[in-house]
Amino acid sequence: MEFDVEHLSYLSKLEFSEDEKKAFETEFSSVLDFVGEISGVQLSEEIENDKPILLSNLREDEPKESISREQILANAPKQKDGCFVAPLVVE
Amino acid sequence: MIDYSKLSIFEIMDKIKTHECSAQEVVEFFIQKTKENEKLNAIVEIFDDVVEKAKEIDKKIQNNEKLGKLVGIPVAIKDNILYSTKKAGCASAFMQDFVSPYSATIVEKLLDEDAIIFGRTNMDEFAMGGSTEKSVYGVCHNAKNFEYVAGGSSGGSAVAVSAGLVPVAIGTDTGGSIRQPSSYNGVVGVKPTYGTVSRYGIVAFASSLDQASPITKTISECEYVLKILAGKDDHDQTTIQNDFASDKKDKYRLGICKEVVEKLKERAEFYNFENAIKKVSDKFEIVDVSIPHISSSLACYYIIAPAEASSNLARFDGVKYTKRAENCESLEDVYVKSRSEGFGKEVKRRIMLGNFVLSSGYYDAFYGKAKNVQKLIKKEFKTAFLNCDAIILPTTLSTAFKIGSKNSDPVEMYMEDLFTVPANIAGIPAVSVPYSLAENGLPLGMQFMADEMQESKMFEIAKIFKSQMEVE
Amino acid sequence: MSYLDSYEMVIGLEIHAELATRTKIFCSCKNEFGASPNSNTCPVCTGMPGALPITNKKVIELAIKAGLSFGCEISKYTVFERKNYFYPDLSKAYQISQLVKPLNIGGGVELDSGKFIRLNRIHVEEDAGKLTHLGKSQGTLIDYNRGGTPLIEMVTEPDFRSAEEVVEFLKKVREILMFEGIANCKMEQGGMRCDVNLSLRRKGDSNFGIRTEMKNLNSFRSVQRAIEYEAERQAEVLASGGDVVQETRKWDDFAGESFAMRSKEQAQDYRYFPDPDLLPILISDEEIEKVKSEMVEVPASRRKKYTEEFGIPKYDAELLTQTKYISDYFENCVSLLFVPKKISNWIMVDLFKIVKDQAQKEQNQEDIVFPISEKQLTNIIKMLEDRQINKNVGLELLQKVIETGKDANELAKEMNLLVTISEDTILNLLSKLKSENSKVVEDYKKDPEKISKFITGYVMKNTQGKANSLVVKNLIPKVFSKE
Repeated sequence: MEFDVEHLSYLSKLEFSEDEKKAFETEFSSVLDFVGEISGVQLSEEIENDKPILLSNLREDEPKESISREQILANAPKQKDGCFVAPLVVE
Repeated sequence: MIDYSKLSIFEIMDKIKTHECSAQEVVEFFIQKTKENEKLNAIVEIFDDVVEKAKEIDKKIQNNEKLGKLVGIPVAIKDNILYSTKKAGCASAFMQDFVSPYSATIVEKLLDEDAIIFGRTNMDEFAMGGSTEKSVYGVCHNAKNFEYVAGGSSGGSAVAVSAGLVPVAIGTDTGGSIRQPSSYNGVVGVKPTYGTVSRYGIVAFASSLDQASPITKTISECEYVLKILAGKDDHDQTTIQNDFASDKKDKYRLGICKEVVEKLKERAEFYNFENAIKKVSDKFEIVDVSIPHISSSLACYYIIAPAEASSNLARFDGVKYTKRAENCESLEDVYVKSRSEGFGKEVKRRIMLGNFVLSSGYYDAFYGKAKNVQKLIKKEFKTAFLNCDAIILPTTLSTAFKIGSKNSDPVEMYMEDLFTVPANIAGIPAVSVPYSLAENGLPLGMQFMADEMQESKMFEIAKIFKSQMEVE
Repeated sequence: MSYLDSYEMVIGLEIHAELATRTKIFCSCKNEFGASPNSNTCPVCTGMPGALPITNKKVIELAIKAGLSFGCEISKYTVFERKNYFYPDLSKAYQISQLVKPLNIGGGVELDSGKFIRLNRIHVEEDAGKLTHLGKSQGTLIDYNRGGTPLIEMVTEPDFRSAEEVVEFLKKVREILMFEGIANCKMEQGGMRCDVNLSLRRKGDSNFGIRTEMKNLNSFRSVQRAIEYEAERQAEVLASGGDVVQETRKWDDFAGESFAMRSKEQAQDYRYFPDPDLLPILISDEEIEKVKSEMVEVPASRRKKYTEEFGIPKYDAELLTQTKYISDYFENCVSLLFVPKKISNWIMVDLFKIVKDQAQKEQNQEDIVFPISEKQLTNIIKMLEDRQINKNVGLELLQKVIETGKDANELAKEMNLLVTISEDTILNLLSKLKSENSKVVEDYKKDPEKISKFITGYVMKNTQGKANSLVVKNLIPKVFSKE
């Protein structure tokens, strides 16, 4: 089992120092040994589906008012013209 | 002056309703009490409008208006529960300044019943942890011994109730985060059947396991408040209609899980457990039950919870409502720097683990397998409950530990959740009740688990048990 | 000679269509185009902490209808999953979509050539928000109004071999989605858009080559051009001994070329897993039957009926089935008064003109609504058929009905537009003509048909056009056949 810290940092959008990365590798190998225990659990062939909701119980298509745009944007680190602002996205 | 911290919520409400005291006096008492105990670091903010709200309640009483079921009762909420216009920081540097633009369903329910939302309680960052040491607000201290941890992640809520800072506090429980700190602080905490309480407006940790619920001093209060929080919610598709049907019996069958006993045997606390069982042996029919894969709950938990958390916490990115790191050149910078600065170590660890178990090539072996083992465990519990009304087991392996004493080995830390996690994995209710003191003088909690939606029976059994413990 | 001559194109499509619901897929915000930024948002569609998705029933019903329309197998148990990736238009950093248990499986569309294009699936998902790139100093603006708009994604097998097949397929799909009221498919608003996966292989090869993906093409023309450009580009790469790089490309319609997208460089790992906030959905046979019962006749079959049963030219039948509204309008008229060709002419000439004159700006065909009810239009046509009015009066009446909203028959009476000359008056006029003009009598004996027009004209002239020409026509033999 390979624990690719670089790849996972990329997926997680997190960065770590070299020391942290090393620490992670040892930590994770013990965590994965520990959770890997379930690979030994024998399962019966038939696995039930999760409990569903009936189509008829879903929400009706009726518009409802919500909180104001000001409230939606209130916690944004940066906003402009009623929008959240991110650094320029290069496509 | 009346010491309201010694009274039950029923007694306080009686006094308020009969004009023996005002809601304002009550709330002022608890403000005073909280201030005196500031060093516990249990309540991180008393909301600035609590006296105002108490006055409104008093006016309602004067005008003979219809009163709610929690009239004038101060209720503290964990820092991950949204209350419109108030901060909710999840004890994280990342979210510290977040002001809720809307209220959680449970907050609305409490307000509808004329409760006073008193303030925010300390917790482990994003509810990840079992000690409330990993908080941006600093360590929360055990109510019974300042040198010891509060437990967690709802440590602030448990300490607040135990120290009498509020009569009721709401916590959240994903793998034991209500029951373990309740056990550590000698109070009652419950985790209901999954879906009983709406999660809308509560910052998600692991969506399929999270439940919010009350912590109180007594079982009756806990049951009473839980029923107020419960209910199907249009904002949460996973909520259920839990009717709390009761199933009165002359003598309940209490199951002892042999796999739990195996784990306990070598520990000093086993004496307390055995002793307690002896004390109630004529009140219950004691039977042995088996949940063969109960200990696999822990592995399931440490796969499912981080997986869901890694996805749930991805929305915190420094763009919409969390702090943005400074000097960011690019979008990637904003994401990576903000998240790396914003999240604490344990949160990052779980995000990484969660992304690993979901990642291509590992999904089936980890997440997929864990979900299937979870179903197996659920089935084993169902079978066990054919043979007993509730399962009795300790809430934790041991008492609270000294602050800073746990080393950083995550696996050892995770083992602390061994007895609380199965109820979350099985989706069943569990309540922790204080029953004994360990050699170090700290409280121990006993846990009762029942089948889905059997809370009433579970509370009834816990009450019988508790009354026997008090006969010394 | 083109490099392309020795290669064959292999194309598969992913088509996104926004469903025609009133609200978004997971919250009760309005599903509406063009509102001011973030005005149709709430905690759910902005991914606020603590917010939870609640599935819109209509979305599932419309998506089932799409599945039925294209012959898919409808899953009775369907699951929403999270597709995890960071991008500013995605408020939660995951898109709720479907992977393992999509709602509709299989199906397909037959092209005019008889070739069958297979669908792999039609699944349901949410749309992302809209980004506006201002520049380095001001950054990118994020508007979540579109975030959470319900989409179906139709994924085809790699069955296309030319741009023409693709465009024909897209036109057919769009027409059906619109007719069934599943999606409005306003392409210029992004209501229907298409990702093209294209690879080349040497003619006669059976293995697939390395493909590229072109995202978000939103007109038939840009689909056509993008495919042609990309095929030529790949052919050049291959012919010069190079390898096609598997990548996502963005088509620039203005420049007429595509370029590789930088943001999609790193290999993605979406970490799909069932969304724990949402339960799987269970769909009953009865519910599927109910959706089926609400389905309408598809345009192709309507066109067949128009040409074969109504005798309407093919081109006109095309125009009449541009939208379900027009087609329904036409059919409603026909059911009130069975003169399909006449009705078709009134709609295509007169009503279209009125609609065009009324619209201030260029109007979308799909937005056309006629300003007169089917009942009133057929009332007018009926008067015309009965020769109670002539065409000019009919047009005048049409304007009046539109202006006043009154009943055509009543208006005609009020305005004294109907013919009012009695049969006796006509008979007298005819007798007078017979006695005064022996040439007419002679001519009538030779060829009654030919002279009837002249006789009718005479009567009309002497009654200021108020005689009913049909009545005149019927009365002519009574007078002139007599010896």
